[in-house]
Formats: sequence, C-alpha cells, structure tokens
Amino acid sequence: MAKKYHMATISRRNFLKAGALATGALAAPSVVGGMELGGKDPLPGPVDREVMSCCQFCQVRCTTLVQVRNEKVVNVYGNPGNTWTNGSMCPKGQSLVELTNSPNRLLYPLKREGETWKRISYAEALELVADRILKVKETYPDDYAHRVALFEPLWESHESEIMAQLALKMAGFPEICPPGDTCIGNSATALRICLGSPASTTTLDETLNARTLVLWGANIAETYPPYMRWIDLAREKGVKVIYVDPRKTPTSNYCDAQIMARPGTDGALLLGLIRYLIHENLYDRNFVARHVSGFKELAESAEAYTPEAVSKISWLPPETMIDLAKTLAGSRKTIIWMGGSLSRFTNAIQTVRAVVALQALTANLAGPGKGIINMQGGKPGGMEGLEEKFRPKDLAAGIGFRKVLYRMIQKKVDVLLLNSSYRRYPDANRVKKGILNVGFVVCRGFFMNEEARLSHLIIPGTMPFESSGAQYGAQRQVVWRNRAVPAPGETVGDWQFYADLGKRLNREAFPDVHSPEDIFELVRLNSPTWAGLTLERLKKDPTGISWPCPSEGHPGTLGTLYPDNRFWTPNQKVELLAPALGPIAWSEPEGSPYGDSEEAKAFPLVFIQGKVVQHWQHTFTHWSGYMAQFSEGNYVQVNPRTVEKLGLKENDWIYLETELGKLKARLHLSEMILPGVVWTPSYPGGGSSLKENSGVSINTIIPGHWDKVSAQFNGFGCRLTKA
Amino acid sequence: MNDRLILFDDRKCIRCHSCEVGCQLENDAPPGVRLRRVRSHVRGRFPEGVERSISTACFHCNDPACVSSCPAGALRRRPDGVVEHRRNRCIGCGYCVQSCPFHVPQVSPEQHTMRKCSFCIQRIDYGKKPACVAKCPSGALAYYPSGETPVGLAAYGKAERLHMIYALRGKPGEYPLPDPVPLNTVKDQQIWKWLGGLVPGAVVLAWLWKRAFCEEETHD
Repeated sequence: MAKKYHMATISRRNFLKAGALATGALAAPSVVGGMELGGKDPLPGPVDREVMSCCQFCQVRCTTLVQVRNEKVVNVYGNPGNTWTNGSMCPKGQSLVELTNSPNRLLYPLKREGETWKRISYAEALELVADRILKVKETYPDDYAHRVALFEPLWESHESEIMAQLALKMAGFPEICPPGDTCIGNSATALRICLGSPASTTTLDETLNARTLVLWGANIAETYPPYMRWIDLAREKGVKVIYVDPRKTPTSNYCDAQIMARPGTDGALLLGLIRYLIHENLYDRNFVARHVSGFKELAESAEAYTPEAVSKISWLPPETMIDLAKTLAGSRKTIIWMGGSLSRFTNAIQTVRAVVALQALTANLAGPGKGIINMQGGKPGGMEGLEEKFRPKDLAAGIGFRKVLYRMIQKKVDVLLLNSSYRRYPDANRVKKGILNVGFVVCRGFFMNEEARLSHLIIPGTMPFESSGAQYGAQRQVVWRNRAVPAPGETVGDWQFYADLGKRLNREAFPDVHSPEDIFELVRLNSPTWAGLTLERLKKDPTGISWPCPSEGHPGTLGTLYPDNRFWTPNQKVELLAPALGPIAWSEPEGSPYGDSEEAKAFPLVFIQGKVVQHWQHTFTHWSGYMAQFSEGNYVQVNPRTVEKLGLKENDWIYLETELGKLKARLHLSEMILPGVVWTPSYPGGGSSLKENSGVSINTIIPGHWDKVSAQFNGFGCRLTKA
Repeated sequence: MNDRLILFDDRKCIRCHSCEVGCQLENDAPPGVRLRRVRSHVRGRFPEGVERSISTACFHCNDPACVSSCPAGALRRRPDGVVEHRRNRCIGCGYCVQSCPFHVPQVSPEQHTMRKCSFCIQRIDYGKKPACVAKCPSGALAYYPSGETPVGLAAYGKAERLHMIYALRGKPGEYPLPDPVPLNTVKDQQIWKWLGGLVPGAVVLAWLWKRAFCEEETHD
C-alpha cells in the first residue's frame, strides 16, 4: 500500500512546520529527556476552600487552615488567629498532607486468610469484631472481663476516647490500657496526689509574668516547637530561663543557664535544693504553715541530701546546686516546666512530688507567674460524672497493662483492639510475643506497619483531615476540628468504629449518637468543667477555650488552676504525704550502672532516648518522605570523651547493647552531651518503605522496668561495641 | 516598588525544618528537592559547645547571575527584587546551576526543571507571608514586604542588597554562607553558553529538516 507523503514544495503548512522546528532546534541542546516545553505553569493556583481544623499530633494542638483543591488536601497552614502558636506549625503536622494522600494507605478492611489478606466490607468487619467479643462473654461467663483488651491512645479525637471507654466498659470489659503508661502517667499521678488534678497548675501565658522559668528536662524546641515563641517573649521580658538537661539542644540557645546533671538524678537534686532552702531559712514559712501538709516529714527525708551528697550523685559541682537554690529563693515568681523525660524513670513519681514540694516551699504553686507546667497538662478534668452515668455497677476493676500482657502471654486474652503502636512499650519484643498469643487481634491503623502485620483483621482509620471532632491541648484548651475532605474507601474514624461497636455490644443501653457533635454534647452536658464549651463557640474559636468553663457566658480559665491557694485535695492543701508512696526520697533508676546491682555494672554508660523534631509516632510520621529527609535510621550520640578508650570514631557502625539485647547503629560524636551518657532518637522502627525512617525499634532493647504507673525509658545502663 | 526582604535571625532558629517542609508543600517540591535548607553545626568543646543553625534559600540577588545565564527566559528579576523562576518556560538545561555563585538552583529529577525558592510570589502578591515565614514556629524568619528592617540591624547581605538577609551572632564565615559576598561575575561568559547551545541546535535542526523533507524527494 502506497504511503501518503508530504508535498515537496513548501506549502504554508510546511513553512509553519519548518518554523516550529527551527524554534525547537534553537532550544534543542537544552532539551533533556521527557521534558515538555510550554504547558501550564505549575505554580499552584488558588485553593477551593480553607477549612478550620487542628493538628492531631501533640498537645500544642495547633489549629490549622487546611487547603483543599479539587477535593484533595493540598496544604495546611497554622491558623494565624491562634494565640498559642501565632499561626506557626512544626514539620510533623505538615507531614499529614503527604500522609493523607499517601498511596501506601490502607483504605479497606482486610481480613487475614493464612498468609494473605482478603478485602471485606466495613459492615462485615464490624460484625466479626462484635461476634468475637460477644463470644468471649458466652464462653467464659465468670471470667470474661480481662479477656478483651484495648491499647490506647486514640489519636483521632476526644470523642473516640469516650466512645471506646463506653463501648467496652458498658459491655463489662475494663482493660483499656491508657497512653500514660508509656508517657507521663507518673507525673500526672504525682500531681493528682499532691494537688488534686493531673493537669498543669497554670498556662503558658503566665511564663511572661514569671521572674524565673525552669525547663526541667523539657526540650521544648524539639518536642513542642510552636511554644518557643513564648520562651523568646519571656527572655525578652527579662525572665531568667534555666534549663536542666544532660544534652545541649536547640532549646539551650534560649536559656541563661544549663544544668547538666546525670540522667535520673533529678530527684536528688530537687531534694538537695529543698534541704538547702530549709537549712538557710529561705522558704516561705507563712505559705507552708497555711497550705502545706507534710512539711515535717519532707524536712526529715531531705536531710540526707547535703550539697556534697547531691554532687556525688548528680555529677554537678556543689556550687551549681547552691547557685540554683539561691536563684530560686530570690525569685518571687517561678514556673517549673517539667519535660516528659522526668516521668520516664522508675523514680519518677518521687521526683515529681519533689518538684511540687520545691514549688510549695517557695510559694510558687498558684498565682500569676507561678506554677508547674506539665508536658501534657490538658487531660480533661471533671469527666467523672459521665463515666459514672454509663459504667455498669458490676464492672470489674482494671488490672493494668502489665498484668494484661502477662495474661496475653499465658493465652488468657482472646480479643485485642490494637489502636496504636505496640512498639511504644519497653521490652517490645515481649509485647509482640504476647500479641502473637492473642486469639483475635484487630488493628486500627493507616499503613501496613508492624502492628498490622501481627493482626487478624485491619480496619483502617481516617486521617485527621477526614473527620471532625474535639481535641484538648496542653493549655487545657479544647478545639474543634472540621472535616476537610471525605474519607476515602471504607476508612472510618475511631469515634465511629467504637460507637458502632458499642451499639452492637450494648444494644439500646448505648447512648444514641450519630456524629462527633452528638458525642461532644453528651460529654459537655455531663461534665461541669466543660459545660460552657458549646459547639457554636468552639467552631468559631481559632485558639480554643480553656476549661474550666462552667457556663456559656464564661470566657474560659487561663492562668492558675488554684486561685486563692485552694487546692483540689481533700484538705485543700498541698498534700506531700502519701502513705502508699512513703516519704519523698530519691533512688537510683532501675538498672542504673551506679546502683547496687553488680550485673548492671557490665553496662557502664547511662542510656537516654528522646524525640526528634520530625517524628511523632511509629504509626504516622514513619511513612512520610518529607520527614525522612531529616532522618538517618538508628544512631547514637555520645561525647568524644566517652568513647576515647574504645577506639571508636565518628560514623562508625557500633552495637548499642543493654541487658536485653543489642542493635546496630551509627556513632555520632558530639560536644553537646554529658560524657558517660548515650543518647539515641526514639523514632526508628520497621515497616516503612522509607529507609531513612527505618531501623530497629529502640524499645526492643529497653528492659521492662516500671514505676508505680508508667514505664522507664531512660537511665539504665548500656554499652557500645564496634560492629 | 519596594524590595521584599526575608530576615533570618539565628538566635531564634531551632532547626526544626518547618520552613523547609512548608516551602516544599507550597511550591510543589517532592521530598528530596529542598528549596530551603537548614544546616547546623556545633562550635566549641563540652560543656561550652554551642549549636548554630542557619536556614538558607535563594538569596534573590540584586544582580542575579542565573537570570543572565538562562537561555530560555525562564528567570527574570521582578521590580520588587524577587528573582522569579517560571517553570513553564524552564527547559532544565542547568546553566543557572553552574552560574549561581551560591549553588542555589538544583534540577529536580522528577520534574525535569530547575527548582529554587520562588519567594512564594503566589502568596506575597496576595498580601500573605511566604510559606517559610508563616510556618516558622520561633520567629527566626521574618518577612518585610516593604524592605524596611529594624533600625540599626547588622545583617549579612543587607549592604549587597540581597533579599535574604541574615542577622548572625558570629561571623558569616562561621556559617555555611559565602564570605565575602560574591557579586555577579559570570555575566561576561554568557555569550559562550548561547553559542554552545546554537551549534548542536543547528545539527538537530538539520536532521529534522532532512527527515521532514528529504524523504519525500526519494519517493517522487
């Protein structure tokens, strides 16, 4: 067949074509593979809408404006109206844009069938879970209570927490293991014992009225970046900022002085300060006489902590402690901001009680510019009414995570609702072993991570931009998040899953709720401290309203939680006595190389770990390529003097060993850390396709030592060997 | 028109990388293509060690070498001092990468064009702050739309009329900054780059011409 050919003569069309070729050829040397010339300018155009939302991660609770274009979340900005953040954001919150649109997300419920997964519908999945739970009740009518467990946290919203609590507890299952177990349960408990409420005693704005701000183990720059603006404002106002941390961090740049004590000896340092104030008569006798219970006992137990004794324990020169004591005694208004790390030692409850005692001696617990700020001070108070209303009278008492884990290993747990990472617990491999022994594991996740791989059923959750709900923050504020885009596939929010499950388990007894708004109203009407937080108010407020807010006209409460020094304890005093805990004293952290244990001496370096700014939890930020840019897997940071004799160099591969096991990591030498201490970031873990974020979970080699309430993650012994 | 300025204050930087991610999300840059970059280093021995961090991006020079080196007319200097890069015109040739004394431009392997800080013109032209400034949690980055910075501020780059300027605790040489500020020195060489493009271009043209027209003759 004859081909059709172009005419030889130069027609108008060919002339134009030749012109186009010439133009193309001029640019040709620069044309690289696959490049297209011209086309639409890829500069982003205007967005379709901006939705008022909030970040789901930490309790700074940045309110945000979520930008939506073509029903897709394209960007997120901090809400400029937010007083606490001034419209800024940290990188973690921004990663949610990428995570929401991630191709790795699980969008449909998956049921394990041997080694493979079968897609099922949400209704089928819900039915499966409800049947398994009801079957437990049938099979073990006398012993069902501890056979169903749930691992919190439930990040999605406060409504989710309420629904999960009601769904299981109303059905007679009390085992809801709270996130505080691996977080700041110890300090919340100590604050509740001493002052009556687990919350911070004041809010952040009061730092500007203080004379001295002590960041005790609180690396604000890397954990709560948007709050750095407040520390900057405070230092500009002349507030003296003192930082207690064995590592220099970006927070150090904002501080007048840094005290680098051996990790886990904060309690001894505090008791030394208390003894010095009492001995030098530098404490507020009037306040102590009127508002403190247990001063005599405190003075007795502090007697052993002389400057020399404290110096020996904490590695600080005695003058450092005395200088600090004089500064605190001379400052009329002091705020102590406690970092999460204070809670993560086996002596944590005593340490936090000592913080309260110190603030009580100098009359710095309540009033403008005074108080204690806790890292997660926002846990709602006054929810007891709601729980009592719905909790069955015969509900068994909870036995707590450690006993649940023991039962799991004994195959005495039949259903586990795995809402978050099991790798958050120390000795994570033991937890994994327990999970493998559970008959039916339901994972509420987002990606095919290590938790999902262990489970029998995955019911994927929604990302925060895809559901509404209320969340509380560290300044006791409650904020409302609006749904920005519809949930993809068959993902459901936690509130919905637990409401659906609750209705299936409890039938008509379960409250009739159909939306997060319904649940919020249920909470509000049953909690006197939230009574004034109407949805109408919250939806308009970019900062959020801080409880207690007892009525609709009430502006919310900022500043001190205890006006007129009336504390929420039974005798309205600062309660330094707690018969169950004994006198306020200090002890070596469990497993410390400086304790009495001979075995621990084989691991002579002190281990500490910490969050880095770009990572939140294994379940989320692990899957973000933007966060991976700043990560590098497992590494340890040590002072060059620490490894001088070991012959290790920068960037060497080493083994980080504890009594439980070892993992391979890069060695980074740094002049910013106390010699004798090893620091490692807590983000690495398996599952993610991003190699920068991947590694071995640190918690797999962390011995399972616990204080009364929460787990120890720092302060025990470790050693480094060449890999 | 007044020059736009972004001021970086290293006393406040906490190297949280929020500016980097904010910039990437706003400007459609995939992970790995970092149009803004935070670098830190430690000076001094324990316990006096101090960490200094700096967030750098395109300096938006007053006399930009990249603009004169661009063969496609994709780069231009706006009256407000912003060196604008129009991606729809960019051919990814990389001449700007070589000509920039600060090594700012980079070619995005996925997007096949050069990428650099856009100064968020899509935001500042509507009265908003650039993304990096809006997202900075500690106020280390500040935006001055009218070019007026605090009185008496000693800032690196101010005298040279760069549009990213730096208030530093130490000397510029202690940071990953060029010292002293090189001004445009590559302008003279541009003609060679143009010729370098024309010669292979002519070869391609000849080949295409041959393919389009000579074929027909053989079959007539």
